[in-house]
Amino acid sequence: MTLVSQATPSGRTGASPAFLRKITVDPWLFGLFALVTLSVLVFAVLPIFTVMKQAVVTDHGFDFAALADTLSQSFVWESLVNTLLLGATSAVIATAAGFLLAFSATRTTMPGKTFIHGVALLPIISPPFVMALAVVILFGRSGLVTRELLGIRNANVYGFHSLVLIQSLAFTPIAYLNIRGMLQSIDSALEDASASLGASRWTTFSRVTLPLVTPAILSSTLLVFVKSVEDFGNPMLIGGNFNTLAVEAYSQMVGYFNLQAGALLASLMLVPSMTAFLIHRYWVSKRSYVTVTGKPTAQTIRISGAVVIPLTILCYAVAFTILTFYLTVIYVSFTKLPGVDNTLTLAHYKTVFTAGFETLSNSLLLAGVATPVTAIAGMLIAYLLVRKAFPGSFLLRWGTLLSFAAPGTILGIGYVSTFNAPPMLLTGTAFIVVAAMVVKNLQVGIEAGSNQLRQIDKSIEEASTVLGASNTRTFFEITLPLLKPALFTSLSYAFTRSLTTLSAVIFLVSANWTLITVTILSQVETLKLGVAAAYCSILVFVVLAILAVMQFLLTSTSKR
Amino acid sequence: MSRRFALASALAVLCSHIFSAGSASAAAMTVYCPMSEDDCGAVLKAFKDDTGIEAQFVRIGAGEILARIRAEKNNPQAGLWLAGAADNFIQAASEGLLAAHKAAGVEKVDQRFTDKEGRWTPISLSPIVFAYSQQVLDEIGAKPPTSWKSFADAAFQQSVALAHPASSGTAYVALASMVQLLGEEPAFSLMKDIDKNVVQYTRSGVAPSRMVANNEIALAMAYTQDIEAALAQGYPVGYSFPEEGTGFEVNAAAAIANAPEEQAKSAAAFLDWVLTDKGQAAIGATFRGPIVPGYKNPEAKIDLSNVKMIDYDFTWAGENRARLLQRYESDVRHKSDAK
Repeated sequence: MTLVSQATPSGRTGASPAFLRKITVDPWLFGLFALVTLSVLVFAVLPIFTVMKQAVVTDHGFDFAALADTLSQSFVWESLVNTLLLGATSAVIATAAGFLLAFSATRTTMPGKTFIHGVALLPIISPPFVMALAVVILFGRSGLVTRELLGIRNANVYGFHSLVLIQSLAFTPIAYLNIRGMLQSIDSALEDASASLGASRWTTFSRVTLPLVTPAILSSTLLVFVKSVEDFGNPMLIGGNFNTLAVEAYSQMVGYFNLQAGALLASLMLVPSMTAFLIHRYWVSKRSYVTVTGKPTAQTIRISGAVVIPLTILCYAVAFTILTFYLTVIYVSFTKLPGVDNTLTLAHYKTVFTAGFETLSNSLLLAGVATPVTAIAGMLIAYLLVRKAFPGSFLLRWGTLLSFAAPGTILGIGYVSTFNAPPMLLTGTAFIVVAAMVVKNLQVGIEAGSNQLRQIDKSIEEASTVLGASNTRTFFEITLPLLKPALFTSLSYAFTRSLTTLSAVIFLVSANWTLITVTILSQVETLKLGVAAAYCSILVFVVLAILAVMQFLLTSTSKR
Repeated sequence: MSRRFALASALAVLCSHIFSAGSASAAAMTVYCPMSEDDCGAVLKAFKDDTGIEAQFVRIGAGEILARIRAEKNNPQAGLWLAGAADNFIQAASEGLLAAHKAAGVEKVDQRFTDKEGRWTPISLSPIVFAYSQQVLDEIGAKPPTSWKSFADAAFQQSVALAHPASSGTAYVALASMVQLLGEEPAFSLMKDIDKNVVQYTRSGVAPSRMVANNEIALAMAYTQDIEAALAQGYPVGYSFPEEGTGFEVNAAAAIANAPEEQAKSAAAFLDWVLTDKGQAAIGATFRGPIVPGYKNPEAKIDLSNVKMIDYDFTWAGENRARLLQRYESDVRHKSDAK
């Protein structure tokens, strides 16, 4: 097995002739690399640093007094601790749930796999506020469950417990997709070998399967942790007195007009995320995970028997919880005054159809443009980072991570300040919205792609280049098809997140390019919960239909 | 081959579409507006019907508008900032983000509610009202609130939601009203007692009234127009005013400094129009109280004529905003600092 560490790029070994040779051997690929890196620098690093630098640079130049002043306040540390606690809890739960679903769906004889797969993907299509509102409607003081079912009169949904529930549910698909992609591409010959050598099922699982999917488990934990740290909408809506850094940063910037403190808190948010990423990198680079070697493989073994029953029950429990949330939203969209007058009505849909679908089609168009760009760029970057060690890779690696970890508000404000003057006058165009969508969602594709690449033996690609194909051609005709599960992860994630993004684009929408999430926010803020729920239901159905088509196209091309 | 060409041309069309900032409507004024989409649209439609001037709006929160205008100040994208608490405008004016324009008819407005330099124009007046859920009150055996102090009543434990005064104009006006009414020390001691009853501080000023409307909580403070909107939808929201007198917000509008010339003209025209009878009627239709005395929305359910209003000094409120919020943050929200 090839050691992955050999392929790990390290940009700091200096510009030795080996590096120069890498460039001259692959001028096209290096050109691509330079282009991608430059784009990441311009569209991710530059805008974020424009805002971040305000943490230390105020009108008086370098202002360490203000810095020390902000850091001395206890709420800063309190919210940091809260953020870490929430991030760690959600990451563990979401990853565990994601693994459970992925393992059961790929390795067992559990009935109804397609159903579970579909439901497990649902939460990525969660428009902002929807999950939080569903929790309130289900478990609030007048909640359908708490009050109508259990008769509890003073249920308190606001706080840590609700946040963990919502975040775990909302981020489970990230873990599920990531781990599932990896489980699917593991060559089951290893598991077969283990089984035929007499290992028990548990031994095979714990000594072979589990170690092989470790990169996906770790990167899922990482992704969920970072998403949780960055999450703003849910803590704001339902956090109660449990304040997180994202909320504090927002209220400092937008509420207190204190850019310095806001920028500082936002920078603080990057610390745990970046640390988690470093640990993850260190861990993964020490091992090898290659199982896809180009040699013929047998059919995956399926676990059957008694062990499937508890797995199935757990999977259906998760699926049932997710479905309950979405059915609640659909139910609300048909009720007259949710929570007060539960008469069924079509009035909200009438309002939506009268208002028209301009914002929905805007959102679909922009997300439609952003999605392939995000997915292909994600795979390309993963390839460049894992397989090629061009000088300067670290810029690319950290640049994309920065954009993923930075709160949407920071990215949005950074975009407006950076791209509002020639030569980069982009405000008011749709391009700026698309760029923000791409930049914000790139990392999930990169992670999925990198994990999968670590499994694929380099000799497959080497065979292609030895036979005379260029590196660029090898990437598009050999590597990319092998990355198909990761590509699907990236496509579906990018598409749904682009459609449902809010905190960054709220600063970028213009009168010509309003998005559906902004409309939904407006409806929520003016008490029109039914209309908001109707928009959400329509959005969910449209996204589901498109995802189904996307999956169909991907599978049908692979059978070509 | 032809397929490839078709794809390429489709892409080209798409790209040109995406890169254009909508040149067809370049002449139209862009407006940043924190009111609901319906309200923003209705006011601007009335403006167009009356003056023929085209305007398109982007709906974002008042605090976000300020952040956005600040970030765009080297090349402003919008001409007009329509609606939002005067505090935000006072802050924006102090940063030089607004263009002065003395609106026609501003002399009809109470001079306490105007900016001497005309950097922003008052457009409406919204009193603070208490909203309550009769259903929750019945359950906990409490009476409707009659005073600011009612919110601190132990009967309302876990039954109050407030917006955070840093992000919501509603909550800040309420805070400043209490300070002006009771004096700073008693007001903060009251806020600390109220804090014990609060289940959630929200970002948006409307959210607490939504929670009342859904019988999620018992009490909230709101602007009258938010309660009117809930009543108009059929929510059974109860409302009352504090016997000590209530505070109010002056809503404002302003032209954005250094906006494109065409937009600046339209913005000035809007500011002149908004204080006319038709302008005030359009604003009044959103249930906001008129700033030029005399107009009354016939559909309004809350009678504002007998409401006792305090002599709310909102210039003071604007100037002391940072200090009061700081104190609120350290004394009320993060009590551990004070101990």
